Amino acid sequence: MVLKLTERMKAWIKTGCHLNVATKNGIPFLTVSRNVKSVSDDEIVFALSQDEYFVIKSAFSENPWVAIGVSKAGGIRACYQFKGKGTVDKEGGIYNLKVNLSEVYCTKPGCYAGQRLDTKPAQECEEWEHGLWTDLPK
Amino acid sequence: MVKLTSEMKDGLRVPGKGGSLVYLATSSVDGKPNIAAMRYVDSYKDDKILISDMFLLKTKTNLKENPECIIAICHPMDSGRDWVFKGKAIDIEYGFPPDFDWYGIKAKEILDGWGDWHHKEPPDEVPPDVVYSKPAQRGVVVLHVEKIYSIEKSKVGEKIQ
Repeated sequence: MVLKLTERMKAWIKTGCHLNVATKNGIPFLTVSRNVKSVSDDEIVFALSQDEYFVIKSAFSENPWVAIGVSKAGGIRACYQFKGKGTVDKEGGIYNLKVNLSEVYCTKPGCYAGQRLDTKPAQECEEWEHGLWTDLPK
Repeated sequence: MVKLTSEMKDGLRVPGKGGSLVYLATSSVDGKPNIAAMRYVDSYKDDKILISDMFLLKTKTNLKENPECIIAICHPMDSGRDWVFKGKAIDIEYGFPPDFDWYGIKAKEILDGWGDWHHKEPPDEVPPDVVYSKPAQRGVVVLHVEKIYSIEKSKVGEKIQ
């Protein structure tokens, strides 16, 4: 199955995200990305400032997995969790953290909590999502 | 030793009571991270944060194999509540011995106080489409906070306590 973010997911991701990484033996480290450089069907590039990157640098250097949740109102309205493996490139003073997504979950409280979305065909996922939400970030 | 400030305690309450939405971040023991937003949040004493276990799945699995945990403010951001709380957590579920101890607190005092959170603080402030019709609380996640750092703009990672 090819992972394909919906347009609504992309719109919410662009508002900023919380990123959780972990050491190889499971110590979590969390940062935020206020600037999202780009979002394609299966890839997100976060533009992290030095302080935003340095808090995860040590863990990320040994383990590329990243779990992503949408920040601010997105925590309520955009009930998704995205997971994938990342790489980082430095561009000037910015650290571009590119995450190739491999998993998308619904985190809406209730019967859909934990529902995996990337295993649905793209059209089916879009229709399923449309049945729950249609709002976009303001 | 960490001591939550009164400002933090005010922020660590359910959103409709003036508190905040938080992210609960965990990891499997071999390093696969997980993150999910949580609404039912409170603090207890000076170094514990409580979250209702109503729909925890991967978070619960992770905590059963690895107690390392983070709670971070999700919403509002950039308004003075930019905190990350790090430490060790356990899901105190119904059936735990009443005198089970987690860093100085007992299972009974947690379940007596927060074991029926939905009725204690019903979610009347959230949009109807995110209100679940029949919650079934299974326990309370208790984070023993050991470190606090900032996610304030330009100060991410700075130690607060």
